[in-house]
Amino acid sequence: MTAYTNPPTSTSRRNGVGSSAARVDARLKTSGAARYVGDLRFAGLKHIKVVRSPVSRGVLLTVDTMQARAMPGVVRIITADDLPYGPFGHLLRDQPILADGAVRFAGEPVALVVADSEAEALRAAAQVGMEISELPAATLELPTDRPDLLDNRGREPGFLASANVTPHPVGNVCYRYEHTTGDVEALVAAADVVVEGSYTFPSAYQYAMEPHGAVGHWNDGRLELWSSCQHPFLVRQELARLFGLELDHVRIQVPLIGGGFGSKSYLTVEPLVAAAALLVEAPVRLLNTVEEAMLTTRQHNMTATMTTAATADGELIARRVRIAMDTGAYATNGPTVTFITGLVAPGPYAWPGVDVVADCVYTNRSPAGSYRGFGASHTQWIGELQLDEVARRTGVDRVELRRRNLLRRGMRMHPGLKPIDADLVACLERVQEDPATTDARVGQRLGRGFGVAVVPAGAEYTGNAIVRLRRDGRATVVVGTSEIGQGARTVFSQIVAEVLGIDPADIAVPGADTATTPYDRSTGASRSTTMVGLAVYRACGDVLAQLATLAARRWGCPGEVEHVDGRLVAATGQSASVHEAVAMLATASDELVGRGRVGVGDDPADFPVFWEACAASATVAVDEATGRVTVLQVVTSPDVGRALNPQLVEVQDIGCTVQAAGQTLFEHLEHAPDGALLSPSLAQYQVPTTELAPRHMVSRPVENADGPGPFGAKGCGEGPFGSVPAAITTALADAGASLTELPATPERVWSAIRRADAAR
Amino acid sequence: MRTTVNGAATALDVAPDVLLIDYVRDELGLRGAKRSCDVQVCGACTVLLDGEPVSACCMFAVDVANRHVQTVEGLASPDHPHHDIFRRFEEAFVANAAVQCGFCTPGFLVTLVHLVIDARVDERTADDELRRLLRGNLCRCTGYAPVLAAARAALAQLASQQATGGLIA
Repeated sequence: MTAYTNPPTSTSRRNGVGSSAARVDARLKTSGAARYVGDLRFAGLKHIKVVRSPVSRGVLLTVDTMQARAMPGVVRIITADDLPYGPFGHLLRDQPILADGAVRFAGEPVALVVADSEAEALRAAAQVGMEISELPAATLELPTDRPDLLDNRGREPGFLASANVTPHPVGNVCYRYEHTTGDVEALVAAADVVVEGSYTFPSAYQYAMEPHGAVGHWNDGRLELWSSCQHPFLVRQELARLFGLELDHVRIQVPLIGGGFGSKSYLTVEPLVAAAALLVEAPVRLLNTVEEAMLTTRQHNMTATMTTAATADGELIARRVRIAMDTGAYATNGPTVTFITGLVAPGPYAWPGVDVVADCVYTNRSPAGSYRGFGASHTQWIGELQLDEVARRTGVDRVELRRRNLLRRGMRMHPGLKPIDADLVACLERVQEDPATTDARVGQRLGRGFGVAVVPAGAEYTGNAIVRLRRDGRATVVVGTSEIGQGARTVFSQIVAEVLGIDPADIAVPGADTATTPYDRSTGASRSTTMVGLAVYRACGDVLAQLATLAARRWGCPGEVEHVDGRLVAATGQSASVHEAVAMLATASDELVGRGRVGVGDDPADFPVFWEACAASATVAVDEATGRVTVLQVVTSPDVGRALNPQLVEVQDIGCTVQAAGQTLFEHLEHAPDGALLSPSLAQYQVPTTELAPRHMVSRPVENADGPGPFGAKGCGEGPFGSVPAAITTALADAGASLTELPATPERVWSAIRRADAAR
Repeated sequence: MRTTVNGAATALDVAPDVLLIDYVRDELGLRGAKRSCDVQVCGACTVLLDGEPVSACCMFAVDVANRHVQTVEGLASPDHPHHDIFRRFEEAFVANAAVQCGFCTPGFLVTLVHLVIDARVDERTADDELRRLLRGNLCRCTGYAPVLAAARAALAQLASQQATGGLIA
């Protein structure tokens, strides 16, 4: 299915870098033996059910636990009165563990029922009563400074607050991004073509198939937690602060994770579990249902206006964007999502003038946080739609318009950030290689569209790894990365296989455990292969250096042993494979421990670590009678630097494409005017199925081996969230349905076609 | 009450409101079936009941009395009469990278093995029909293309296996 322009240059070892090695965890997962947090067993385990507010906003007057306490199997009912802990939040400390005097979204945890079984907890939870005096709810449409809509939340900066993301204390705006270059007003006034519009973007639900879950218990004043979390070290830090513990008195272990897509970032159910375990003095477990997961985190909905100004010959000169992101009742990662959204809102083009304001707004919907490719998804489709309109009005071919104005390597999206390090023009060219499908049926209109998008990726230029090579030739890779489905364990094994010449079958990569695996900032932002993979690569180098010393000593030629093509070779002529060299260790159970660190020495402090770039083309068929859209073909071209495992890159790219297509065409959480969720389960919330997924997808990565990761790799798997919605919406516009609101439901598409036909 | 699980007679000593998914996972320790949507749309909890796929999240355990429940663990066991079919799909899933987070994988495999045993699919099944038959199993990672490719590869192998007299190459 995939053709790679730049096949790996070095001959790869078996299952080494550049080979499509099979996933090391695949058979565990096919046989049903894979263990996720809900599969772990603990003696004496108690179960938590969360009692949630039915009201979006109000004063919480009383919580009545009397009846519930008398229910069979109930161990304890916990309310805010039992929790002398402040609010939490990594950017803004604004979220209480349990609602304390106020409720701020329908679904907010108000009480915890701990019982001997989940069923007993559920039955007792239904008996917890509460009295709430309702208040009017804040929404994205209402003014952010109306005094009667302001909630008295804490806004103290959390532990990750940075210069980029500082709180904005005015009204319900909790963070504001602003950036201006050039005299945009004058540029727009002087432009030959000005395209303007207002747009609405819905809120999607990440739907990791495994909902959030955690098990916790306290032992001698120390907290031990098993959690399906993407960022165990950040969870550890925040729990330690909340409960007043030393960092190493909190231990987080992460088993296999059943998908995350951002939904398991930062803290979710962990504070609830930690608090309950402390109070009942027993191991406790909380497994969200999908319905609860939907209320725990979601994607930001957004409203935006955009203006694009160009010359008559298709030179882009200015873009103005105003963005309001609905972060719901609590900030969670909203300020970062808003920062990134504002940052990339102009799109990857060279603008003499840019004027962006992006607000992160508190409302009384459920909290919104990270979702795959965040930042790119919200606005790139809008910018690309406006480019097509510029092309139409100027008569410049729309692909040519993009090619002319795209940022080249070394040019800057933003003066304070790392210059573009990707080949965007090559990505755009690659998505045109496949001829457009012409497979329309009677009564259908075909449309073709294009999108190019970038998103800053990698989060932070840091990484740690330990590689333990035993005398028996087996290795263990010790890293704090969560295996969430992305294939991190497989890729790390391949790196070790490549450098040390070990079969991946002899390499173990255990799960993250804050007590035993070194610090990793987070599993997200496409950073694991790039940053932790680089640390693994360096740790292997450290092992080789130690082996060279060992061999030199054995051979009596100090300092003269080099590593040549998988062998240790002495100036005196002796040589040994890595396996032979490690066997020189004196004791059978001895080992060499290699350490790799990223973010020291000559490493840059770049932000972003790399730009995740991706172009896409899409062909759609629109049913004229019903407005129903079928995506016939999507071609994506991510710039991945170097595909360490081409097959894993391809399936990441295609998986992301389908998720992005679902978001573009039908996925959206429906909310009532007061913010309550109206599509509270997967019976209402439609995700792509085998029938609804695009029919034909092709992934054509660009590989220039120019990434900061090992062997020139960059991360992948998020880029399509910017370019695929853009390609589909521009394809719809090409078919006569120009939308200003997503998802592209049949009703919206049908109406847009009728409007356009009437205007002709 | 008694039931048969993966070929073995088993005591079915549960309260009337215990769901089949909880009985299988918690009482029997067969944790390959996963709990996700709770509303019978995702297929992660798929098990076979008297050979038919059911969503274990939406059935009471007492309703499997005197019937035969088969889980992914049963199909994955070399003793299972249809283990060769399972193994074809398993190998094809691995080779086609149809496994990512793995939460949906057991459900897909149970469904596919059922479709073959029931002669609902073979190597000639049209793409639209295969997609229709698999729409009750959701996957959020792979984008389905690798799953469909794996299914195709396994069906082709099963067909050639049949042509060569049932010998597994």
